[in-house]
Amino acid sequence: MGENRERGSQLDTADRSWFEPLARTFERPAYHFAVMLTRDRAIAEELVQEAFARVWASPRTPSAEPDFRRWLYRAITNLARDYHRRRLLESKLRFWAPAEIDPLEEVVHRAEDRDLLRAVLALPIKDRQAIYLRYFDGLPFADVAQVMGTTESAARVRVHRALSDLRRRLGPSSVAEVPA
Amino acid sequence: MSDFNVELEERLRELSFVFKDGIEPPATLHVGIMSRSARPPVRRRPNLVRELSLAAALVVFVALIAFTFSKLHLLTVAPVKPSPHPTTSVIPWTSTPMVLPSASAQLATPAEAATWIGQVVMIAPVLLPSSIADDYQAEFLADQKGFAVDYASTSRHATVQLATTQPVMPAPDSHNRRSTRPFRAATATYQVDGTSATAPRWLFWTETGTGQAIAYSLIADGLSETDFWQIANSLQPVTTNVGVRACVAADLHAASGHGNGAGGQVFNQILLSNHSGTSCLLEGTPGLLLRTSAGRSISLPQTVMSVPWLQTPPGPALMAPNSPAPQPDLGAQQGFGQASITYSMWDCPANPTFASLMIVLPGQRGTLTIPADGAGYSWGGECDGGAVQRMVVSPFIPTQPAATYVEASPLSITVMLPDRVRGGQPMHYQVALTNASGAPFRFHDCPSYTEDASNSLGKNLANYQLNCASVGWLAPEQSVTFAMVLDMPANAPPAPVGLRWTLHSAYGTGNGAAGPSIGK
Repeated sequence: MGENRERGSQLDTADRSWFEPLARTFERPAYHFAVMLTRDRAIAEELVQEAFARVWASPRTPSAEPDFRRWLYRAITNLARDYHRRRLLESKLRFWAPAEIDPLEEVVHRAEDRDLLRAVLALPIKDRQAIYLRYFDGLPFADVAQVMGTTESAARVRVHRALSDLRRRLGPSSVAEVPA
Repeated sequence: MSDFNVELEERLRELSFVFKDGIEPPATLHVGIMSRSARPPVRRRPNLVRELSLAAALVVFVALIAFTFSKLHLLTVAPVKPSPHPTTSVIPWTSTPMVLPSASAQLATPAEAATWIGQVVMIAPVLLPSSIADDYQAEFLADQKGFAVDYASTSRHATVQLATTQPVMPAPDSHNRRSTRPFRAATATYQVDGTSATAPRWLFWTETGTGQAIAYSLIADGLSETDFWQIANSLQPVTTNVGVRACVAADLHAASGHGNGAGGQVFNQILLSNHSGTSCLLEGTPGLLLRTSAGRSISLPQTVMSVPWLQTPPGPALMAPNSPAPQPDLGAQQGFGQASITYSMWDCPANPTFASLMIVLPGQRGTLTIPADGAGYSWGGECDGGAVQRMVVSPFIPTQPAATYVEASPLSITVMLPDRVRGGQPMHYQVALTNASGAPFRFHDCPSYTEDASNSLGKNLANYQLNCASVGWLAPEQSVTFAMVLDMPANAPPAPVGLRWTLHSAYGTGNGAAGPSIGK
């Protein structure tokens, strides 16, 4: 576990020097992670800013890089979950018209493997998150589990099931036809 | 695991490059993060009951407001956020969020400035004058979205400003003559301030670019009517990167360059040149894969190297045609036309040996494999006592000639703070900017500023954009005063407060400080 900052330290509250380099390092990967979870760039920007604000405000936020990243990703995950819950609630209220989601169509269009990207974006949020952490960010299963708030074996099962779901969505021929 | 899964996993890894390369974070993201984390956020746990309660309360509140309005006939709407009361000569404060600070302005000859602007700006058309005299020096700013260039005569008082922005033109009065006239297939606004033969002249018009309209301004001081129009009529498009095709792997030479290191972090370098017969553009961040001598891939999780680590800012690199292969032993690449990539990697404690590097161009434009001559892992620091697997890779970095930057700020800053302020209330103060350059000065665009009281008030830091749109030319030693507002934390201690006020601009950074006491 990384170095934790102490609550109430005067130096800690005044000194932002530890935070800005971490923000610069992780704002881009955090944004991509948030886009994958929300499928909406504007929401992702808002959510990443809020996540950084929360980790900055929390006295328990680690300042060592790998731990900070996991901490940040957990915050993004929680915010994304809240966002999806809100959308679900809004969709149940007849008089409330939820905003349209940006389907990231221009990114999908540019991707050579666009069927696969469409399939990934169509996965349920937890499966999408597991696939992103494992294959887009290349995290080991232990880290995937920590970000998702589960055990390592549960993370392995989640990834395996998500892969199966992707194979099913792509159809049997799609996987085999792609050149190595 | 089945072959299908292995294949699918490989496709997902390749897809990650396309996904990350295709989704550029908004330019405001970093500023938003730093601004929002300047103060602790208000915590709110979403809860269905609470949300519905709030909705009900809102309905009751709106009904109450509606009822109140129905009973009132003469009601003056109060401003949502009142500005401080400006004195007659003080420009009021506005809560405009900060914009990203511009890079430092560069100095060059007009010809060098034209080459530089053409290489950097990604709009069309980029217009520059061809009739600027030899005794002018160019001071310029350029990025992908636009440019501003000041030509100043070194032998007399004459300046010409050309920019892809339009500042506020002084209102016409009995001394200012404003007219409209056809110019470059558009209707331009032309104004002369005063009756002197060399009075300031303003020309605003809109160019229809390839994608969107571009607002241009040409502002001159110390030029006659004839000289002004000679320059205006000499504007012509310069060669830019717009429309240049993207490079593919078959166009490129690549070689491992000589890296360097600091504190255990090793910065490796890859040099790139274009051997094809036509120019092409390298843009974005490549993927890098390591391979052992047996051909096995070592896949390290990859993130983009952030700008502070790079000596030269990344950006689209216009690759000159018919270039020879890079020769790392001959030293750093000079001039325009080539590109490089910087990367660092950690794979501890294993540090497996690798023999080659595969460069995966963004946008599925192919791969290049090169020997990993001299490239190495970083060590120490985060590797101590832990397993770390990661890689940071820069976007393509265009080679550039050595730049000469404008170092001295033309403005001196005076911060005027009140004697006492109260915790939990806004502090109203003023900042005077004085033109200390010895020559007329005006803003290209309104810069951002930072109010930093974090040394004495914890996280009290704010970023805004200066409300400078109405500021015209400042004569030497002339000042302009701005009203400022900074919220004081309610729990501020009863002690002197140090405030550092920093202006971010193309002309450098200035600081001002003073120390009022907090009065409860």
